[in-house]
Amino acid sequence: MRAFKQAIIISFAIICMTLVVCAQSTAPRKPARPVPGASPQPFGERATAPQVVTIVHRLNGLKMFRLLLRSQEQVEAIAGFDDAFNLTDDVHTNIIAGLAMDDGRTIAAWLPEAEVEFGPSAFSFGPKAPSRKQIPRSPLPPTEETVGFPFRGGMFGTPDLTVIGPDGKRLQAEYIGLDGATGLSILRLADDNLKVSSTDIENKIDEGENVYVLNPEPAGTQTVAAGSVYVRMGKTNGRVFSIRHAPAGGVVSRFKVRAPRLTLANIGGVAVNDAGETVGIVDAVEGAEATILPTALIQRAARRVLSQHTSVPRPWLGVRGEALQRLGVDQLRSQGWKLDRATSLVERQKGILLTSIAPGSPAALAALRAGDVILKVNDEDVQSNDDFSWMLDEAGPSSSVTFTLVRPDRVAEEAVRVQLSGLLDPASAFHFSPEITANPLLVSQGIETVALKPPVAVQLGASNGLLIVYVDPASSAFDAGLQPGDVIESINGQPVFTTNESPGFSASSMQPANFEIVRRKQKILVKVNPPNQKK
Amino acid sequence: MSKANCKTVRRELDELTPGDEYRSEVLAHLKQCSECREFDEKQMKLRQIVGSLGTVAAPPDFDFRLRSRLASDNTRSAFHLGALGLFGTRSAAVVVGLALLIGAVVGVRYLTNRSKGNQNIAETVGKEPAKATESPKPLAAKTATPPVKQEGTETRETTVTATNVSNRRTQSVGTRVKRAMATNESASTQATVIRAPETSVDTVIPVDASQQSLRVSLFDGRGNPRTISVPTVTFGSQRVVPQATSFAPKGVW
Repeated sequence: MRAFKQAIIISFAIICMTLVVCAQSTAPRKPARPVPGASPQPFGERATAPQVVTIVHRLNGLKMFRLLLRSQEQVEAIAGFDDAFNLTDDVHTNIIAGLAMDDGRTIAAWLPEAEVEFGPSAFSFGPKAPSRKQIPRSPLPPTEETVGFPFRGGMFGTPDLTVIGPDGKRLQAEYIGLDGATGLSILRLADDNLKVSSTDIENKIDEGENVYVLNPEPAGTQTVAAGSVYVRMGKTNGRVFSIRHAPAGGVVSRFKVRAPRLTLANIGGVAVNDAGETVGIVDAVEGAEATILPTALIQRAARRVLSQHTSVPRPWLGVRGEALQRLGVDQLRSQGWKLDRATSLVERQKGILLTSIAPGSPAALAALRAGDVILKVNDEDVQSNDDFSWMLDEAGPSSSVTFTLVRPDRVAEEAVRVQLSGLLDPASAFHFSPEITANPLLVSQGIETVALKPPVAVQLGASNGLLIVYVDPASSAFDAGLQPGDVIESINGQPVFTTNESPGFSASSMQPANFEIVRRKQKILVKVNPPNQKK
Repeated sequence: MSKANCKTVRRELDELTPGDEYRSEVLAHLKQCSECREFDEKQMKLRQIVGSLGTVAAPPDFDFRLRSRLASDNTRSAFHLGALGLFGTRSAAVVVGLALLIGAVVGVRYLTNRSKGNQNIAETVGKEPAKATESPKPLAAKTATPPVKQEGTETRETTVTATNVSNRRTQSVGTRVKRAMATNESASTQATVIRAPETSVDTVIPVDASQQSLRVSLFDGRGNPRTISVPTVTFGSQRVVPQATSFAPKGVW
């Protein structure tokens, strides 16, 4: 029986090889030529695209507390959690699509919780840990883009990220940084073992084109057991109905896809066309419409981050506003504009109305005011919010730009020069409340804490105190050995109970501070030098 | 040694991975119990056999390229037929050859699988979609999704039973970890059964997610008590808690 099977197999293989060899030898190879109107296998009939990977981002208990601290929850103190809860064990797993770029190593993804890997200074315009040390992970010398604005790219530890190839292979990846302009995280694989198709199809999007959005999703009708989930790449089919171009140069800045089955879970999904080529990453979803960040801009974001080898902040002006295209006369009048001038501005459909200015921001320093209307950036007309974002992004953080603006109380246009700064999240300047969410003195030392109510402190082996959730790698506290998970019971002998107090401790002190901490239920004394006396 | 102890020891032996150390209780039990020694030897041999099997890796975009090639050749054949009135013999030969080649591969695999018959060797997940067998009865026998093995990378393993769900992160080869003898108490709880999709042809990837969930009581900025629960798994870019920060926000510069 076995010999019979082997004979069948051998015969079959010989026939196949003969046919293939004959086919190759009987006709010279012709170069492939495009056939008008013909497309290869439609993507909808394929399982997945080789350039789309699955990214698993895991967060432990400490990182979740960081996230809560920076959330809208305004956490004052932790009052309780399960007895069995372990701060350093995983509590949350985010599964999202990633786009492998042409080099087979660089991955771009819209990780929703990426900020948890950074210190608070990267995201907020609040007190900053003074430091002379540059970003420790960067092999590049500091440039003007990493100095001079309140952004610092320090990351504590290595993010728990797993990249899974289309074939299910786990691939080692390093988190390089976050691109502030797009919100994309850039990762780099240890090897270029992802074979990807070309993503270089800039400006080739057409209205009416078929697009598939790929996102990892739970496989089938399975239920998620504790600690286990099966994942497959889901597809949502849509059609391009709107394309926006950048104000100059004609580059596609965004395009929109309409698909009836879109949900918020599609944000971050990779969009491909009928040929399976990447066309972008989903930037936003509103109803049945998805806004796509095109491939060309993803490539730019990757280049920005890779060239710095760290996160690159978004240019920061410090304003809120709205394009006049989307406003009525009443909204202008509420900002102090007279009826005739407001009507004239609205009819022109050009400019951005500033509605608020962040204190201490570049806009505030340049005396911009709420009610001002920015008509031009460097002599280029501004028509939409996207135009304005594009122009600032093109200028880059720490650059100077000249605004042409009009004001409610002056007839003539004015030219105002503004020195931009940089922040990963410009919105943080409008809602950061250090007095509630963090101890400003400790944050200034590079330490982010959350207060513990006594029952929780007892669970961790302390009687009271502040739980450390982040220590800036460039701070004296880090050099002294303070770690996330430590509980600060007292500073210089004075107990600390809330994030609003730090008795016996002063940011301006020239003396080392003695931190009495509890680590794994053991009491330890740590001496932290003043910031200007780092080791 | 009671039967209950044998059961517990065998479960632990079953869950041991290369590099794991036997606990002293297990070693003591193995010295006394010949049946468990035999079980242990069989397990080791099985691991050696599975470990010695090589894997054949197709390029990730093999499917894409093959289909594109087939579609392209079909189109070209149709053009020759219409323009010249002749059938594209080269194209046809390539298509037939590829089809026969695929058929040969499928045939070989089919025959090979059949020849293995009832050998109870773990199915390797990796190139093939992972399929967790659905158990129709609550107390059916053990069903397993074997680990995805990767050299030099952390691997994850999921074991699903009808009465017990046990998940753990497999340690890298070379590390030694002491493990509790019993994993989960299975007497009173019925585990969730993970079902693989019934008709999916896509690659299904097992991912081990967080095993503990976060449920925390806190006081907010106004001193009001609140309880927040965080889901263990989320898909896509939805944020797990409403964030004060936002990437690339609209209307803020």
